[in-house]
Amino acid sequence: MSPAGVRARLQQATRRAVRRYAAVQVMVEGLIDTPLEPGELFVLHATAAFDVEWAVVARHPAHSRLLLVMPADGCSLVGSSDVEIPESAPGGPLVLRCRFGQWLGDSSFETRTRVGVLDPGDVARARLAWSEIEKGDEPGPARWEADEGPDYQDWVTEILVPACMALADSEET
Amino acid sequence: MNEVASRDVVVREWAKRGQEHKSGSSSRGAFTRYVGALDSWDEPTNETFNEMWQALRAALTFELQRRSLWTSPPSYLGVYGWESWRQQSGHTGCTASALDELLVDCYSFIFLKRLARLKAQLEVKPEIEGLVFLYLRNYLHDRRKHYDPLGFRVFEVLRVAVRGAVAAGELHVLSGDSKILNQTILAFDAGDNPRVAFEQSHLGAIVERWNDDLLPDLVNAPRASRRRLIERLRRHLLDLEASGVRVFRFKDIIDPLKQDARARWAAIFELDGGACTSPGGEPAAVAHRIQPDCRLEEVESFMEFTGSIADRLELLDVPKKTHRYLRRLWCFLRTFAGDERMDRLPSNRKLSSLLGIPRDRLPGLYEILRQAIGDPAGAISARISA
Repeated sequence: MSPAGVRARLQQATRRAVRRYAAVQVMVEGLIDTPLEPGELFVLHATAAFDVEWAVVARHPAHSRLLLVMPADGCSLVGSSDVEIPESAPGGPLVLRCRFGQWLGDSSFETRTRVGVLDPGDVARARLAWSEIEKGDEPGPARWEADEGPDYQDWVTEILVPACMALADSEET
Repeated sequence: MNEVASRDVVVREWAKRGQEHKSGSSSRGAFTRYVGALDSWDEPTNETFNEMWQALRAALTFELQRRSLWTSPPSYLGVYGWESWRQQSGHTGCTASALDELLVDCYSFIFLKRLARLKAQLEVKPEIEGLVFLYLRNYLHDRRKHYDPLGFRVFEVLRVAVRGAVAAGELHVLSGDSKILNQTILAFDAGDNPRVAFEQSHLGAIVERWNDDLLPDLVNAPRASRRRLIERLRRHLLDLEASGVRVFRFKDIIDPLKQDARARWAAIFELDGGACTSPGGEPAAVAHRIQPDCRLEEVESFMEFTGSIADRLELLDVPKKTHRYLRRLWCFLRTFAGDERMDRLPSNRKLSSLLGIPRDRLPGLYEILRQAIGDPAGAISARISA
C-alpha cells in the first residue's frame, strides 16, 4: 500500500477512534454531579503523576459512604490478580489492578473527572478477584509467573505502589 | 541534511526528552498537542499530525536502538519481508520500510486503542509525553513476546536471574540501568572497575556452554519448574567469577546465550522433522516459485515482484480473516525465500503453529497464493524461472 494510502487508512481509523471516545464522553457528561456508582472510571489530580485511572468496583455493604476502588491502566502487562478488559468492551482496553484495591470515602472523588464506564460483567469479575485476594487464595503457578516478570514488577513498584500511596496521602490531608 | 543525519538529530532530541520526562521538566510536546487536537469537532492539522508522526518515528527508533533491536532482523518484531530496519522498498507501491510498517501498528496501539487513556490523563495534567513513552515500551515488549518468544524468554529468564543475584548482594550494578538492560554493567565487587567489562573477549564462549545444561528447559520448561531453571542460571552466573570474569556487561551475556539457544533450537527443529512433509508438497511448490535465483534475477527485481504480489493480495475479494492469513503466510514465504540459512520450509503443522493459522486453512491459502502468483505459464512465474 502506498504511503498516501496508509495515511488515508490511518485517518479513517483515527476518526472511528475519536467517534468511539466522543460517544463515551456524551454518556459521562450526563452523569456529572450524580452520585458515584460502581462501574465508573475516574482520574484524580492526586495521582496524576502515575498515569492511572481509578475504577469504582463496589459500595461497602455496611458503610455506604465507602467505595472499593482499584487502580486501572492501559499497560498490557497482566498479573495474577488483575482483570483484563478487552478492547471491544466498554472502557477497554484496560487492566484493573485488583490487588491494589482499597476502600475510600466517596468524598475523595472529583465527579467532574469521571472519564468512563465499565461493563457490569467486568466489574463483577473485579469484585470476584478482590474477594479471592481477601480470602488469601493463592494463584496457580501459571499465574504467579506473570507477577515475577521484571517488567511487571517494575510497573508495580514504579506506578501502582506510589499511586496508591499518593491516594492514601491525599485522603489523610 | 540527509535522511539518516536528520533522523539521528530527532533521535537525540527524543533521548533528551526522555531524560526531561524522568526529571519532570518536560514541556507540552508533539504527542500532547496531537491528542489534544483529536476531537469530534475538528481534526488535527497536517502540521500537528506530521509533528506527532516524526516524534513517534524518532521515539520508536530510539527504543529499538536502546533494546539492541535495531540490529536484529525486523521479523523478530513480526515485520516480515525486510532484511533490516534501514532497508528501503524499491517498489513504490509498498510501505517504504520495515520501520514504517512498525510505525503504523505502533500508532494504532497507542493513539487509537488507548485514546481514552490518553485523553483521561489530559484531564488532570498538562502533558502526556511520558505516558506515550510508557505505552511505546509496552508495545515493543508485547511484540517481542509474541513474535520472538524464544529470544524474549531467554532475555526474561536471564534478567530475573541477574536481578535476583543483585537483590541478594551477589552481583552489583556498576553502571547503566539498575532494572538490568543491555548496557548495564555488573560486577562481583562494587569497587571493581566498570571498564574491565569491555575486555571480556572470552565471555561469549563461556556463556554458550551454559546451554549444555540449560537447554531445552531454557526454552520450554513448564511454568511450574521455572524457578528451578532460574536458580540453575544464577549458579552459572556466579561461576563466572571462578572463570576469571569479575565484571561484565549484560548485553555480553544475553547476546551469546540467545544466539546459541536459537542455533541449537533450530537444529532440534530440523532433527524433529521440520522439513517439508506436507501432503501434496504445497509449501515446497510455492516456495520454489518465489525462491530468488541470483543468477537470473537481480535482488531489486525480486523486491519489485514480491511487492506486486503483496499489492495483488490486498485487492483480493476474500474475507478479512483470509486476508490476514494470506498476508502472514506471504510475509513468511518472502522471508524464507531470502534466508539462505533455511533450505526447507517447515511442515504445515509447524507453520500453523508459527504463524497462528489453522492448519486446515493452509492448503486453501497456498492455492490462493498460487493463483495470485500466476500459473507456471504466467508472466510473473516466467520472470522467475526464465
